[in-house]
Amino acid sequence: MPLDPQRVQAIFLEAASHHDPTGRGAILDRECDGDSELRQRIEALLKAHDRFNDFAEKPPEGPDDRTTPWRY
Amino acid sequence: MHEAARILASIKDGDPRAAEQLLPLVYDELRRLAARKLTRESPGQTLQATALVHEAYLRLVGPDPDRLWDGRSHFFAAAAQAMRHILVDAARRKSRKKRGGEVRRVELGDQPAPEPEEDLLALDDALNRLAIEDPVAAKVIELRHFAGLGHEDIAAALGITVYLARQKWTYARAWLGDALGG
Repeated sequence: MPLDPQRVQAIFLEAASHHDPTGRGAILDRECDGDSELRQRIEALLKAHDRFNDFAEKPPEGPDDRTTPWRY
Repeated sequence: MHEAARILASIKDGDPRAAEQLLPLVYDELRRLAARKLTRESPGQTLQATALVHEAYLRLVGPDPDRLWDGRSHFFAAAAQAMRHILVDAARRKSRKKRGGEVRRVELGDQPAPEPEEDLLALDDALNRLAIEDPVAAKVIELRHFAGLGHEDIAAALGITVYLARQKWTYARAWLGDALGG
């Protein structure tokens, strides 16, 4: 059965609001409840999220302040 | 009164056709400005895009943003969409030109760096896929990436709370980061 994107999003956002692995692990254990496909998907999103963590969340202020991390 | 300012005022007054008139007007102005500036080979097109959108706003609406605050968000929503289209269009042309052999191939020992236009085309493609799953999340990225809007302006443009705009941004960024491999 394909994953429900809304459920994925809700669990991801809850887990992403925790920075400690223990807090995240507890949320994933509770919400995924043995569904390995769901867990893998959310872990992949969290991995991408953590790569952006040092990225400033603010609107552009000057020519060197990039708004999004994708370069082209 | 500039035509765009008149349209923004009509949108504010609830004229449903006014929003449709805005996009072609903004698109034409941005394309004109872009033709002058974006054709130059240079990195950091995103920043130029953001600057272009603000320049177009000043030219089309005028220098008094508070007066038309409601309309302002409509303007930037149209501008982000137009800017994305213009940049993707330019990237496609550039990519075709290269594949078409107009550029002489040079053998080099090192792997070539990823082509910037291909990065943009990959982002555009990923945004289309994200839009199927979550149109609002895709719009948040479009407004931020192609018009340089902050969370408050994004929330106003999409008629959502700032809190939700932030949540969508967090999700969409991770979604795209995963889809594009960082």
